[in-house]
Amino acid sequence: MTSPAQALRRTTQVGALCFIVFTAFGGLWQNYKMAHGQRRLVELMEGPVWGFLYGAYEGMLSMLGEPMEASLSLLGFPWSARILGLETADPLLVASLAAQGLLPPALLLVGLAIPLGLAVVFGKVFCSHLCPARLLFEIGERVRAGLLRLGVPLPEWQRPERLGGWVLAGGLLATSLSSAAVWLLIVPYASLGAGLHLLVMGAGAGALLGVVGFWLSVDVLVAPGLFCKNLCPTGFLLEQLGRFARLRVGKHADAGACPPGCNECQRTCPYSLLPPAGTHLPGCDACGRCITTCPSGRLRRELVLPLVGLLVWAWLPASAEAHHNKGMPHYGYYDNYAQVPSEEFLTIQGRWEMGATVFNFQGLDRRIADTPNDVKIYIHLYDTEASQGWEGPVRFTIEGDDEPIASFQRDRVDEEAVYSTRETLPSSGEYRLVAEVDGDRVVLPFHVELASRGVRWGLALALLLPAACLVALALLGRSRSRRRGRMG
Amino acid sequence: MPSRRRFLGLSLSTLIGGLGALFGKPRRTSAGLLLRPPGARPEPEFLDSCVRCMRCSDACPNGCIEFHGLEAGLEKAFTPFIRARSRGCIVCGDCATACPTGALVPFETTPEGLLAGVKMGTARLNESLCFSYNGRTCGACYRACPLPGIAMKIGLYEKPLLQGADRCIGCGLCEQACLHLPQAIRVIPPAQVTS
Repeated sequence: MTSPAQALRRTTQVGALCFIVFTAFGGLWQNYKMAHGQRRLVELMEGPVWGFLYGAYEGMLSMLGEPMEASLSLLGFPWSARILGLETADPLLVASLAAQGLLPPALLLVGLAIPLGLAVVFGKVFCSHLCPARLLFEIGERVRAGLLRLGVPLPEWQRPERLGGWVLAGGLLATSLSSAAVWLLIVPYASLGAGLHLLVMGAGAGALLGVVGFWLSVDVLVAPGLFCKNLCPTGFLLEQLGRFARLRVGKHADAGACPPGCNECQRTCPYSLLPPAGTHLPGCDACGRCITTCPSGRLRRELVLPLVGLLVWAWLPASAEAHHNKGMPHYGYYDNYAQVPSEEFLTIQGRWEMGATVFNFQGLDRRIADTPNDVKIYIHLYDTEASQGWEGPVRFTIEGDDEPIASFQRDRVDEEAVYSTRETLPSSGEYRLVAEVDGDRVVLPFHVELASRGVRWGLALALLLPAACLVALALLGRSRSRRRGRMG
Repeated sequence: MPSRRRFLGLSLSTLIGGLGALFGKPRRTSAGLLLRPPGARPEPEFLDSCVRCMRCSDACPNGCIEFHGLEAGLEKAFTPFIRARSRGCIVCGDCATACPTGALVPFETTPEGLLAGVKMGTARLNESLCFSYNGRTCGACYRACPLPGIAMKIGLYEKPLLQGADRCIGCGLCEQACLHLPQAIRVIPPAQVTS
């Protein structure tokens, strides 16, 4: 179906993606190892399959040294990573540290050597072989082809302007005004890396994956290749460095002239370049798709890539979930004993620290509770100027969306140093607790989750249906491009 | 170079910078008291030098490092923090060793090294809430403290006796261990102490 070179390229692309997921899981593995310590114990607790996986993973790490230490030589994501102990850093990242007026530390300057060396020797090989966003855009290309095959009239917006340098300048400006987080919102490969990383760790990654989704939809629906070709600051930088790169795509010396009217290479090129004319440099990233497509085999790549990617492919992520056993390490009370559903909220405003402990506990199963909307709230007030708890008169109000829901007055604390109340709240959501104490007003936003959490079928369908459609479209687009290849 | 092209590029880069400023506008959050990982430089320098590579959380064997999202403003977005109440820091120092930019400065894991190199915050006790100060012996915080006898001593009925701000590194293990609801001991990060 495809040439070995294309299969290798796909492998390195997927490998880069796997690396991101793998390093994020690495933290979980360390956590798991702290709790279990050895394979035999995992086998006894989780069964032989997990025992084997745990042992295999540890065996793999032990090839690099003591497993716990060795796990520290695989960190981060391509933006800034330690791969088998080797440092790499994105040139953008180092530039943005410099834009902050900081001297980049020696470690990062060493890390710069790998991407710069790659660019000088192999040109934009990062774009074609490692960039995880490019992989996504190529899937997007298939989806687009599928849509076109279904007869959807999609515009094909193409511009000659190459603005990567300006985006670089703008991004560095924004970095110096705010922080390095700007880049994670501008360049889709960094958003994808950080987004996946946060997703594995169970943190919110919505905004970052939203950035990726935005550029992907622009690519699919309006302007294929727009970001990579016209806007990518990294692409721009690597292009400048790789002007004299050793790896390039070109025509065989004895290939002769192309048949007139054949522009298969240009049609398959994500940047719409035309290699036989020699005008494709320096924009070309030597992905080699045109070589496979050319009906008369006139094109070739002048240097074959080493098999680096196959190694990366081998590092499959080991998923693990730490559990409290053996009495160590000692995790938070609420991690270990989650049978008491309560949440603590806290604010410090001027003189006052106010905390609220919210219990929405209604017996063992909240779904069959008599009054499922009741919550108990325990409030404490601390006078930071007098360094002691406040036990005097307070007026409390609970507000939701700016309208008061409940209000109550206390002359002194209800039980030991704590004010308590039981309230019926209309729904799950955000509320604010306002306390008027000793002439001050303290506001504490808090969150209440009332309803039970079952399977949200609506949400699952909303996510899965579009995904299924995309897969179907991609398959359609793929069969279309293959047929076109044969016809030529 | 046609000036139209230049104009387009300039306006685009301005747009991106503007978007950055828009996101960067700080919003009020009720996040409570969040600590930076151990060895962090003072807040403004930390924010400048952190490149959001997330290596600190990869390296953390305790799984306690989380990240801010955009709701914290672009200044703080995607920077690491520790929520001591859910899981305190065991001050193993792996995150600081993994940090490529020196936003977290490596430290020795001896008592002297911890006192010299780690200042995540300062523990503060609310005596009116503490079990041990109200006739019920507890001592959970003392048993969790990585610097027992230095940062915290223990008195009659296991009353915790805090030994002052310069002897506490603010790891948050006492806050995590506190049995009382609402919690009686908590770590106040340096930024909150100064304001």
